[in-house]
Amino acid sequence: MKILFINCLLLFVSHSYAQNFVQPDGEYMDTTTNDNEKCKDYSVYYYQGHGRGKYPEASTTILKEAQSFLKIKNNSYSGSGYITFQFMIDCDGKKMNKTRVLQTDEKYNNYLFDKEFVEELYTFLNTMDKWKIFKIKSGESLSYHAFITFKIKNGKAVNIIP
Amino acid sequence: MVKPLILFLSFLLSAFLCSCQQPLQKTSTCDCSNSRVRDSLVEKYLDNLVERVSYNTPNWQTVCDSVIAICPNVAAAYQLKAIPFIKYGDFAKAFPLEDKAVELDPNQFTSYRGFLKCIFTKDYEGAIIDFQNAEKLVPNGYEMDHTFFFYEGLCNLELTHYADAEKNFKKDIYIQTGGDTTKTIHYNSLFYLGVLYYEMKNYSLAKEYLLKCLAIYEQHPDANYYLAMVYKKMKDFNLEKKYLAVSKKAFEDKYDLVEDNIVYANYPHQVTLYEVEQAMKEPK
Repeated sequence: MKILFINCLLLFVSHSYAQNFVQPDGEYMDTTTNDNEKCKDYSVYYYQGHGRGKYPEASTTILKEAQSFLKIKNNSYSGSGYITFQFMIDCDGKKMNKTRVLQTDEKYNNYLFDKEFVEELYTFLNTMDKWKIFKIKSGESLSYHAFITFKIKNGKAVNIIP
Repeated sequence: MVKPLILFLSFLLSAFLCSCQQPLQKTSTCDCSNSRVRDSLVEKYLDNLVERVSYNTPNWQTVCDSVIAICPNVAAAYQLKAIPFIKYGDFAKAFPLEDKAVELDPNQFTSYRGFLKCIFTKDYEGAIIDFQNAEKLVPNGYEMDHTFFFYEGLCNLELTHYADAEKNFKKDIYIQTGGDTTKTIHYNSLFYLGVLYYEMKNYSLAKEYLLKCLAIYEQHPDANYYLAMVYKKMKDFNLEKKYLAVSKKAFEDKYDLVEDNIVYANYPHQVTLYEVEQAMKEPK
């Protein structure tokens, strides 16, 4: 009974924090689904339609915000390359939980950064709350695919894509 | 499963027909070493593919894979196959394909890969290498409406190699005009020269080039923003306020830098309505 209780507790804790889940189609920070029932998903991407879904801040502004966030954490890391998070934004402009993570070195070869570093960037990503609402010509709002990549140089975020 | 197979077979058949109009009886395989064969595959299946197939569907990959299966040396098939990966941040999948395209057809795809590194992955050092190589292969060449020197200038601007960026942008303008000062220069060439001089703290030249840009494209929201920043540095707060207001209105009216790939990626030094509104809130 005690073991069961501890297992349940661990399961609860594990869902409270993002972590890396390796699935056949890739690695995820979070695999939980939190579909907004009123949102239609036509599998559109941030660049489609007449609404433009890039995050509505300059890359340099997002970078400054990310750097401030990381500075508070005060951890040092190594490695250079790219850390990309792919996810969906629902029809209310909220980031959905399920998030895939892709990591490469500077030459675009698969690579793994320090897990804690990836976790910190993911936590920052979840603070980004100005995502656009994607509307089609009829005025209907849709969920859409989006991504953010952090360009990393010697363990520091130096640019943001897109 | 059936559809791709049918598609593949139809490609195979067409390829035989296109390549083997005469030697059909002599050979049982497509002559992929023949550039006309490769060109006919590109013309028939890859040109304007985006108008027929969405690149986020499996069909896009099937078409590209089928062409590659027939002739593995069709460079354009690799470049097209990479498009959905580039536009969704999957660089590990995209760049081996881009590298293959460059290997097969360096004249056509070296500058394109440089463009991707410059605009999409912000790998400015890597982009400069590609554009310098591209310049040797195709002197005074263009990629996505701009000279190779324009992109090299952007990279050097972002790397804060300002003297090199200035040379690049001047060369870009020279290629556009051939030295004829009456010829119209691309507004973004003028815009980025203005941004460069702003970063170099040469506010007089920054103003001159940003005004030249706005003379061609007066709603250019980023040029209006940077001109406001120049006036701020010159302590002309009335003009700062004026150009911030113009920039804000331009953003609200959906004007932008007007570059082909602006919906996918932010260009260097590009701003948004957010930065304009933040600047408007700053105490003077």
